[in-house]
Amino acid sequence: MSSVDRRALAAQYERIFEAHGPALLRLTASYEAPPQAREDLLQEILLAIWRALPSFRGDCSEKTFAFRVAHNRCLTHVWRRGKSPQSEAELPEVPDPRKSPETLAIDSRRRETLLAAIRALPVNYRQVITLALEDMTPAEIAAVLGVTENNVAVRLNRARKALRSILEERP
Amino acid sequence: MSMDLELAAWRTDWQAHQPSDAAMLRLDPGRLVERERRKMALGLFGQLLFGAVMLAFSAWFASTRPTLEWILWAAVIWAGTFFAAGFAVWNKAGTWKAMSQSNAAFLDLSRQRCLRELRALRIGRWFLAVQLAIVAAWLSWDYAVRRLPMRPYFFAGGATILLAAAYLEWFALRERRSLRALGRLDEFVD
Repeated sequence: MSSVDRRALAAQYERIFEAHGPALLRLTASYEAPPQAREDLLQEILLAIWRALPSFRGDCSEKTFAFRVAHNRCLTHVWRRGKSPQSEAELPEVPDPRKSPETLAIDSRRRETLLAAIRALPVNYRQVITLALEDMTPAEIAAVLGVTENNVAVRLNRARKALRSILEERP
Repeated sequence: MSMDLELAAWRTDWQAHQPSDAAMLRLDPGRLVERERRKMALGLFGQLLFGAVMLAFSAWFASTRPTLEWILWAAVIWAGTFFAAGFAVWNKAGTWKAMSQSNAAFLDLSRQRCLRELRALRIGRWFLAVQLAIVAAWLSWDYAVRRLPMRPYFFAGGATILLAAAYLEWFALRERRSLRALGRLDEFVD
């Protein structure tokens, strides 16, 4: 690979991470709670995307490509780990300075509950709901997961129902 | 709450989670080599444990059948196990820690580890060939002396060798792919 190709690849990689890095970090949080484990999983995803990038032919968007690789990596991670994620530590949040400390605490608690509830979902529901929460369309989700749009609609509906039920149990 | 409002509320809460430090979204070779080190240590421990089990089992088996044939068999197992364990330890020497705490040093260490794995693979192929030769000679002798049925041995041995060869080739492909990815990372990380 020539130096020019490498630089183009590096630029593409930078672009993907600037645009989708935070979303990929949130994805890892749906699989791992402890910050150390989450960061390890994120590094695995970053490396997997780097490795897969030369074979990316532009047959889908960079977002779809990045999430497809990330989800495959997360599945491998779940398969290797072989147990449910723990739920002690949470993702960092950027506090809104306009809100009172009480409101911030309530918001933070609600977000933590949502994150824990997502982690409690079965993997196939977790995949579809995390992608939907990242503003992905059913067609994009279908492309990431390699399933049909109908399948995405069914899974998303079930995932929402399951998530709602977990959230009602954890007020 | 309607379905769409509910999803929108979840979406807002979900996307409020943002990385506290942008640096955590970058590839960190130091973290990667540390994780590799943990895997390497675990892998080596597994290999040595397996070797210890093989030594104990062959010693016990030969002691319950103290004939020349089984003592020779145990000796071959012991020699093979000591060779494999010694090679595994020697092959990893010098690849446990980076020379310095720079990205270039971490990438170099990672590359060294891949090269060592490829060396282990070449030795693994020879080791497999030697094992095959020993087993073939042994079975031929067994057949000539005792007229044991060859078919089950043939199929079991063939399947084992095919599986081992497929694993070695898959492993080689994986390591070569890692080496290529590391080569591309050089320019990008530093």
